Amino acid sequence: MLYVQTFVTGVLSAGILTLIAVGFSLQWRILKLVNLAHFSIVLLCAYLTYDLSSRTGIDPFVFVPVVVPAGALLTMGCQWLFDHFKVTVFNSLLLTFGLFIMVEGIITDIWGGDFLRINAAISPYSTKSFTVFGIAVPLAPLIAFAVAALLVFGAAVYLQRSYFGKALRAIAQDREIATAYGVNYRRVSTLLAAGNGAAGALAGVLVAVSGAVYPTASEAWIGLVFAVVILGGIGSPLGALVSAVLIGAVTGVGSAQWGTSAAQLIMFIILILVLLWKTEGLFKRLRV
Amino acid sequence: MTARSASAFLLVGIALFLVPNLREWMGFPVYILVFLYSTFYWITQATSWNILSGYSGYFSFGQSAFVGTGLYATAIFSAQYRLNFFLAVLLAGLITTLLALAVGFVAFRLRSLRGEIFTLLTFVVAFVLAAIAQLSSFVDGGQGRVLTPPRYPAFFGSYNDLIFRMGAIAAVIAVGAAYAIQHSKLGRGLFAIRDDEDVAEALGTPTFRYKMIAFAISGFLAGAAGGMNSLQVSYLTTDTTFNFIVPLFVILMSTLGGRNHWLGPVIGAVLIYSLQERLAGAGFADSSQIILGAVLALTILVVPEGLYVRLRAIWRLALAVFVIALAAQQVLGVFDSILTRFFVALVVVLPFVVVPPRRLAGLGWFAPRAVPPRPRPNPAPRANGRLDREAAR
Repeated sequence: MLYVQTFVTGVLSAGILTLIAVGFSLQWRILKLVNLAHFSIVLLCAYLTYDLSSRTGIDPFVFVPVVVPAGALLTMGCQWLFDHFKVTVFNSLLLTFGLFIMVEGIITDIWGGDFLRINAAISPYSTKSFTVFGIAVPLAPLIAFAVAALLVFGAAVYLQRSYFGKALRAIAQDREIATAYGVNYRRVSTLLAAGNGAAGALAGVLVAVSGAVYPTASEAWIGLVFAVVILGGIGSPLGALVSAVLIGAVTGVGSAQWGTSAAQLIMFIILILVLLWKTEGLFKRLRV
Repeated sequence: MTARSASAFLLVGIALFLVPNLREWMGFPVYILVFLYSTFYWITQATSWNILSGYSGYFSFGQSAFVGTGLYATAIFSAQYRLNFFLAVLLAGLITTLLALAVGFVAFRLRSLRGEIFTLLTFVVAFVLAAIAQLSSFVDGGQGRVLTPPRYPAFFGSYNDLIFRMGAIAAVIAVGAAYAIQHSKLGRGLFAIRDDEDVAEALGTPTFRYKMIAFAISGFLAGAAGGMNSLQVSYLTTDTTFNFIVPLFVILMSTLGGRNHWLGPVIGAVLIYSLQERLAGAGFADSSQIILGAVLALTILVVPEGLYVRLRAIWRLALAVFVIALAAQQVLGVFDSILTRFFVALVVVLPFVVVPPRRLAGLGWFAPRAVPPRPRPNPAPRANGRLDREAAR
């Protein structure tokens, strides 16, 4: 029973992970940018949600219309930097690493290094759960999972069918030829950045709703999201969801058996094995 | 490395080794030795990073994995097993060499996206090693580890002399290695990998082997220097060893100084470490993380090629301004500490380095000069190709 319980909790934890991973992975494959600042923006949005909700005493989900545009704008700002200064993929790593470190310092300066949690009276989601067949299903991760699944399927269908999706795939294949055939690169990249930022901001809200926020949370996400993206195949929203579920389940059961540090080790071993034997990820067919 | 440059590095090493003997005579205070030790330490770390990441363009975020492993290994060998300190440092270096080879074996065999995956993988490795150290009570077990000063031969002098001399030796070895690699076939292969790996491979560069060798050397230097730094650390925790400060520092130093030349990390390390030191001295230690992160982002956007190239064009002007700034502070009697004066002079030079060279064209002898491209050896004439042979003549 314990294993079924940890399995369910682990699978549900995939929601937030997927929401963070989708934007990161699309930006990597299509715009050839490894944007570590994405994680900082997610964390900033989580802190923003915490701050607004604790100050006003209103349900955190009310602030989605504020936080999501903020996340989108921040990501668009980063994208403007990349485009304006013609940052190459490797310099994007270094540039966003600088931004990542900077934001971590700023967050520590403003909110301090402690674990912060929205008061349960304001946000009951993190403590509430309901029981199905004797298994407790926590509410906040369930919401996150539902949002992530909706978003991923929506994105996959939209990117498959729309002109925008076609333009993205053209840019991913060859940016210069695509622009020569009339794809407006700046507009497409800005739009994609806005979408990524919005998804990241949603993840941030859900992080704040489902647990505590602290300045170094984003460091742990990088490893997990990297594993999810590699496992699912770079640039594949559906692959990200499937591999997030897989990683969530394995680390969930693993941490119940051997402790949280061991769960990270398992995740790492899976990652290494995939890198050694199946570099293109397990779910290549799911790529948009 | 030619015999001439090798003896030049040897001479610099011997001169640095004798500096503590001259300290009383030259009359500078002891804390300068400690400051210089830390500068040497960061020169070693930045140079170690640059040997793989600068030369070949594979950016590693995992420098702290080597530094942390080196520190813990030295602590275990030296404090727990009572091994000779110098032997412990070398063993620590060997362990990190193996670590580098293992990580390289996974990442360097990939066909596509190897650069990005390598970067993220090194990031994860540091994170996972910290988790292992936390778990294993043999290494750390979440308790931390107390270090005791090691015993060492008497000719190293007092403890401060010892750390200065160790730092100097490490820095000379690292910079000498970087110099030798840059001027060897390995170095040219690494530069070719950075420019276009597929083309380099098609032209016969053994890319996998070169990357492995460079990463192994880099790992050895980083781990051994990390172990050496246990001289200055009295208490180890996973949070203070496997953190982001080490990769941030080495990346920032190499990038600011210039990643394509062995002198780049040296220049960057001197600049950034003095900046960090002065920030801490002025009570801004808490916000130094924000400032250094911002400096890294700005460097990538404004001077992505690094300061070395710019400095080389205007070195006469830069040297003149630096000397004038130092002399002016001496005459005016502002800022008592040597370190502050040195740092202020560096800050005064900086604007001249960053302005576009054409703005300084009217300065005569001090004006920036175009750096002549390094003379390349003529391509070897190919067998039975008359045209090639004529061209080579």
